Amino acid sequence: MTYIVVGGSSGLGRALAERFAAAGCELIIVSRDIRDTAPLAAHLAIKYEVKVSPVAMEMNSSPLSLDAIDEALDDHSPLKGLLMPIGINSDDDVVGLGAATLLRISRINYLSPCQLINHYLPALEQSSGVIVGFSSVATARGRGKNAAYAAAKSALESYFESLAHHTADTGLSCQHYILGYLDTNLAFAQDLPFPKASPERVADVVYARRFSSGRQFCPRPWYIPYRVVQLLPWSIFKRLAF
Amino acid sequence: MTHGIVRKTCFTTFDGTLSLSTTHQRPDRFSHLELPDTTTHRIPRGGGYSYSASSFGESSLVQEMTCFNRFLEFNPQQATLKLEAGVSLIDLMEWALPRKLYFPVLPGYPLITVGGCVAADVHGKNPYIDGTFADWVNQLTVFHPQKGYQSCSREVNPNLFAMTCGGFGLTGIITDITLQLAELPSPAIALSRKSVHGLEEAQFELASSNADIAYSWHDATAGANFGAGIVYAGHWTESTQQLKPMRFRPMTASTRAKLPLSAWNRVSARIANSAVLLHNRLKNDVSVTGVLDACFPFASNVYFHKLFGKTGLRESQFLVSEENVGQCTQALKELICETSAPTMMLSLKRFKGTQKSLSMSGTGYLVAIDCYRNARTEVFFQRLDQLIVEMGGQINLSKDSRVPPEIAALTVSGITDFKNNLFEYDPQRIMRSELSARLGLL
Repeated sequence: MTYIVVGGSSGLGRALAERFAAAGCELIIVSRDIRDTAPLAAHLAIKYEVKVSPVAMEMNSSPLSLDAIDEALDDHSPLKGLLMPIGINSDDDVVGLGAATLLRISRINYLSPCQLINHYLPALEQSSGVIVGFSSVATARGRGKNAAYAAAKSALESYFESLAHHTADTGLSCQHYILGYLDTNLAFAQDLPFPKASPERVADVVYARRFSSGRQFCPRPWYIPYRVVQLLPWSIFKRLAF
Repeated sequence: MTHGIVRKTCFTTFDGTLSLSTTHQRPDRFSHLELPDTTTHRIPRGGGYSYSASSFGESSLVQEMTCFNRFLEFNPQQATLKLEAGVSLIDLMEWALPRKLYFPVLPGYPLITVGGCVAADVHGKNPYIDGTFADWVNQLTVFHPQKGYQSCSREVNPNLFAMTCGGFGLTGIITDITLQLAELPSPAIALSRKSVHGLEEAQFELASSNADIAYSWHDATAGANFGAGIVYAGHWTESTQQLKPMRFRPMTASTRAKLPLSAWNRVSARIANSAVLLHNRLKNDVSVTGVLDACFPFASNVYFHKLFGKTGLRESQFLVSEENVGQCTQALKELICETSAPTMMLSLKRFKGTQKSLSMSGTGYLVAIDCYRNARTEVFFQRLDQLIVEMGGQINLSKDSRVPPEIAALTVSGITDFKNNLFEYDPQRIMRSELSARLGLL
């Protein structure tokens, strides 16, 4: 069975690719730079002796051209899963940001994942597969920082809920994870108030729940600060600088 | 945004004697590794297990290569493996062993990276038979910000290859390496331990040994027990043991130094050394051990290093010729007793190889000495430097974080050629570390 891992060359995407390859799954790894994707594909093929195809694709385009993934799929066993650990934020992501950055953040965090879902949904319904999306605890509440990022990820959460509703009577599993801090390059240079979870740990959770559906916090304790932030009275929330 | 993933980090040498803060990046993709600014001074870093500050320096961006840890190409006919520089030795071995392959030159800690091993041209458990790490490297790719990606080997671009093996990252960032693997003779090693009364006896044992693993350990505390020790000799042996993954808790420079003070002093060192010697007398002469346990003894025996605490330790490793080793060890004993040096343990290995760039290699005996730190430590090391110079020894720059430039000039035989070649290759010396600054390689 084949899984497509979008954004699979680094961070959580790489950890997911490693975890699924270790379990003997065939993979199509998609990321922007083939120089990153091809070495990972070679690595997984050598280490786990599974079939892995690298595909280079720019997620900041609309509409996406998915021909390269489709061509790669022709050489693989039937599609079983679509994993989309993709996302991007920006230091200048505040209300009033420029149109180019706004579009880029919207495409990569929301529009492109939705297009991928729509394109592969029929095949995944047929194979009773799984679609996995990821958003962030930044969606708890709109803040002055990460304005477009949180909005795009919130939109993706909503789309996943619609997807779950739409496919409720099929065999498709539809999972959406709300991630806390992860020890990836996104958080490498940030001083954060809570510990960072390892991407490998999150990948283990995703693999273990690959036949389940629903929304989940990962790591689970992030539910508490997420809810606390949501329940804060506006008079307090507006004073917080985070 | 993609190039802004840089933070300030305080780096410390593994011996705990030198710390400094500088910018730090952990690239996980090629575009991050390359950076748009080609004039930024930088230095690559692997696992961070060097005793000297060769992987960080003031005003130099540290590019930690641990995410570049992928296997790239395996040729089963030739038994060669192309891999990225950030692959750790344990990952390499855990992949190779089930395929009946192994890598013969392994330093003592499993999380050291392959790139770091090339940069310091490290040695393993029997350099007399196996040579040094670079002897098993077929090809390298080196990224230099102003020159791009350069492939080199003994045949192609041989000068860059020679400078990079043992060049401590000063020629650029090693991105990938093609290693020559060896066929695994058997899944276990029979390790014998022979008690010896002194260094001379150990030297004789090592000289007459044909073992696959051969080194000695000695009590180096000043006094009557000085030199008493154990000669370890390992031979591949058949075993019904299954290969199993190694379980250990990673030790880093910071977790090594958790104790606020050193627990080692004259009394504790003597007690510990006596206990090791007594334990060896009571134990079976030969034990069969798994390959990984035999290759990485410091993975499970972390207390020796941890008990040095935040105060840290000093180590010196040097190579002395076969003709001079007897005289050298005698002079060393006199020096330690005369200065009441805070020495703890000493180790000998027989060595054979060719010196390259800044590496320590040649034919003779490797002497390694570990000291706890007190007021006498620096004085002892200054006297030891003089002794090494007098004996025509070569110092291992990766094991001693304080070697002064004038001593390096006398004890690293390739340093002048290396400097000339480096200045010609990279007039701006983009790659910089504390080590290169200390040795005048800027």
